[in-house]
Amino acid sequence: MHAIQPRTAAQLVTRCSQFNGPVEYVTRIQAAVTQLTAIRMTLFAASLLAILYGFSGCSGGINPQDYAVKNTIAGRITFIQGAGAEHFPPKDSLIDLRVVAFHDVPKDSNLIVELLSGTAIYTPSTLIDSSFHYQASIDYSIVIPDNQFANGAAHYAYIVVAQQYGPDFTHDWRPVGLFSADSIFTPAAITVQRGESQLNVNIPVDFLHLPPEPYK
Amino acid sequence: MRTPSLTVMASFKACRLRSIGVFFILLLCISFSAPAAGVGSIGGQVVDSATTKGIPGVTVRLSKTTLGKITNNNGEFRFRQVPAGQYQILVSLIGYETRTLTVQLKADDSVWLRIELREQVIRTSEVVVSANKRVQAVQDVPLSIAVVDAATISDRGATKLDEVLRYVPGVNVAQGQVNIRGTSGFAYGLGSRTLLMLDNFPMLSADNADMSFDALPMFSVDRIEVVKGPGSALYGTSAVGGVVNVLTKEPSADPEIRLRAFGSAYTQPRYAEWKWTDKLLHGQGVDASYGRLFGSTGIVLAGGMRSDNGYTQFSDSKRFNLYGKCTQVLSPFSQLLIFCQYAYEDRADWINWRSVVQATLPPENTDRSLRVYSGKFSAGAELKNQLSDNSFAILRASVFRTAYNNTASPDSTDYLASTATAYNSEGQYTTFLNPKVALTLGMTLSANSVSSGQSNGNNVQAIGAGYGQVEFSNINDIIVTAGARLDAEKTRGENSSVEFSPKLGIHYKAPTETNIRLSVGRSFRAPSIEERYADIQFAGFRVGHNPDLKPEHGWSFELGAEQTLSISGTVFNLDLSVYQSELYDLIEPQFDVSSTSAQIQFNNVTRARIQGMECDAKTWIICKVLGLESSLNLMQPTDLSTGTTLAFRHNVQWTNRLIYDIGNVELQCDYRYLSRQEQVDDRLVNLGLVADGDIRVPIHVVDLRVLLNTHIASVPCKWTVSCKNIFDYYYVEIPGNLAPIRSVSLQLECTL
Repeated sequence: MHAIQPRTAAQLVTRCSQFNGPVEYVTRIQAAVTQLTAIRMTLFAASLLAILYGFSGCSGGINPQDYAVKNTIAGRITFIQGAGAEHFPPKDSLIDLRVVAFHDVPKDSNLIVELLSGTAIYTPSTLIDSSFHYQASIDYSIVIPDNQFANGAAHYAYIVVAQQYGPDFTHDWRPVGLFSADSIFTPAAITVQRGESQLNVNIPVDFLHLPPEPYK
Repeated sequence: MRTPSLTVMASFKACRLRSIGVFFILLLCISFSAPAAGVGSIGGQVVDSATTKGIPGVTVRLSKTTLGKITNNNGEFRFRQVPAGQYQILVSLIGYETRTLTVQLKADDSVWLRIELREQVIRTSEVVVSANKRVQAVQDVPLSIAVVDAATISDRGATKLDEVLRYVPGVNVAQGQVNIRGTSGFAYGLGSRTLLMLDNFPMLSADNADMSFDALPMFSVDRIEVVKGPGSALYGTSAVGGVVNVLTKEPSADPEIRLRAFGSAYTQPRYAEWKWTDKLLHGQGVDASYGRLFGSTGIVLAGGMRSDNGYTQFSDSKRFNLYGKCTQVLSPFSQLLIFCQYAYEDRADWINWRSVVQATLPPENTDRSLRVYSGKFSAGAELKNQLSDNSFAILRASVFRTAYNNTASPDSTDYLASTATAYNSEGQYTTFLNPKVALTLGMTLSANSVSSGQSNGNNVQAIGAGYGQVEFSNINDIIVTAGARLDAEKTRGENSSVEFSPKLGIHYKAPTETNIRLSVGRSFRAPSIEERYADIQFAGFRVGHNPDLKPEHGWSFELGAEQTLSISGTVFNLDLSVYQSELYDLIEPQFDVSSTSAQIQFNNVTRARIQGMECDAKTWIICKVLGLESSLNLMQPTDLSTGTTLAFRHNVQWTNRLIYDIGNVELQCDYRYLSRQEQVDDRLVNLGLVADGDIRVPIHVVDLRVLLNTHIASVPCKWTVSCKNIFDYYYVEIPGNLAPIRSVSLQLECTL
């Protein structure tokens, strides 16, 4: 007939403590059981964590490096008068709104000439799309095409928010905001190294106080 | 000259205070007048069936009355001056099977009982009070109820309610908003669809109708009951998804002093982009409580303070709280409870990250000198009175005041300040028409008074209601509960609404020991004052008021079954439920691009349907050494207005708890999985309100703890070493807000 086996380590300790043999023997057994218990618990915890780690996909969740912005100019356009349609030009004269970055201060009012010559880049779609609700600010970003980099860097001397105010896409544009280092519309230049970005190219727009048109 | 709203408020307050006063005086008069029958005493000893030793700390209740006792160190209890009659005695303690005994007490007689409790294999809970406003065994309730006991709260080292609720089956918490079975999403704290109560007193703020987790004395909590499903038939507004009732400890016969100290530290994020300091970011805190019965008077006093650097830049906080409760036996037939609580918080003020690449930094234009100060005060009184041997009445009155302000200049558009007070009163009468029919009637009167710049001055919302419920247990093994409540609401004297909320519940105990439950009910939520009258700037948009906002409402249905099985000597407890909620006129912020006055306004817009299934399992494997609790909630929350999934919901929620118990040492592991939110509010992203606001991932969080029970100078102590989010998994619960990263903590709790 088999003796009833102790079911847990704690019960084993209890049983050993009832043993009438030498105290030292009991102490050794207790120490061994404690050690065994610690090893068992450690092994259990380690295997459990390994299983859970595998189960959670080992992905680690959100990784900022997946979203790192490269070769990009980005920032926020702030409308000084605040939110609300009454602070913006009438709808029929606010046909399009884009951020355009020029290598040099433009000499011609015809944007197409600048764009075709590759001396300017711009936001790929209008900033006043269906999500535009006359809010006080809009975020924008422009990815710099590879051919813009010369010697590993792209340089832009004149960055504006441009408004298309009439039906002529080639000529009916005017600057309404300028990336500037001061309040008197001195253009601020930026240089973007390949693989890096300029994320804080913030431009204020004051429809009551427009920057000068450089080609006039 | 007083404004109309002030006049309404003042007259309402005066009228209400007078009515509450009259109620209490009347009840006090009744309290001291004894029922016609004579009195006797019931006492006894509760012993462990295996060891025959007395068990201390057992809750003993006379089920048809308001009387309750906790056994002393020898396991003994005694009710004196009990009116003659027949009583059911409910005896319960976590870890033991709940027992119900019937006792016949004659006048001038003394009954002494020896009650044996068997240790319970499955750690299910004991009795609940939140389902039907009276003490019941949890198995007899036709609703899904989860109970979190004090031991679990202590093991998790929880200092705020959300740290516990995240692991309750079917419950999720997002930035302070509790979501039961998908009824709530995330609405920046406005309008909770779950009712929060502290010892049966409502605890939603008067302005936003939101929960203030730091206003709860977590160190003094005995248990938390979470009733899932519509609760408006008994509790009125806000109980759309369910009710969370936080119940505090009763004073014990022997003096009890408890102390807790803890320290924690966040580990550095593993991505260089998110490392913003070389300093160790840490938190620490202490808690203390004292409880004792002095004859017929019992007191519980508690307090705590904590500070945290936060894991993101400029997110530090300091908090402290004080809590006191006093129970007084006024006569053999009545008991008075008074409580008072105050909590204070000083914290930085930002919610969304700068961008996902700079997720530990606040947006660039954040004013880092800005602080938010908030104080929460609540106080209340409850008078329980046994009117006869089969009926009792309860009167409650409470006040909950919240006040906050930030340090911006009052002239600035960033300035926020609000003082809001919620007054609540209730009268409840429960009688047993015969041993198998219980009738509960009640009425409530509430007023929310708000004074804030952002909601156009002073506003008062008044709600009056009457409710009734009857429970039949005439048919063998079937309990039928039917009830209804009528609420009338009026805000600022301008708009009013009437809501009728019926419910029906059926509970059947099948011969196979399967408990089957069925429930259907209507629920509603009255708009908060801020939703109706807010007039603020939010992220460059003007939020305008909408006084015409109607209450949102819904119908919910649930069919569930609970079964305990024994397979090859291993005992399993299984609970399965299917549910469906039809929600109407849900209140959402809407953009009106054509408006030049208000571009955001709250409107009744969404019609939603939530269908789901929840499965909970508990078991002890290998002779109480290895325990497992697992819960899976699958749901399909659909916005029928747009045909898409409701925003901010996780369709799959899976929580697990594993316990490895070897004597004095216990290893616990929690694993929580939530599927990726299918929808968030696209407007947050499209309008540039939250940078990278559409980035979200499934959630996998693993917490690991080792608990060691020991003695320091013969004082029982519990050490807890805990690692939260051990794999340092990065995720968001709300758009643009990195959830807590890995932290390690050490906690010591002693009971003197």
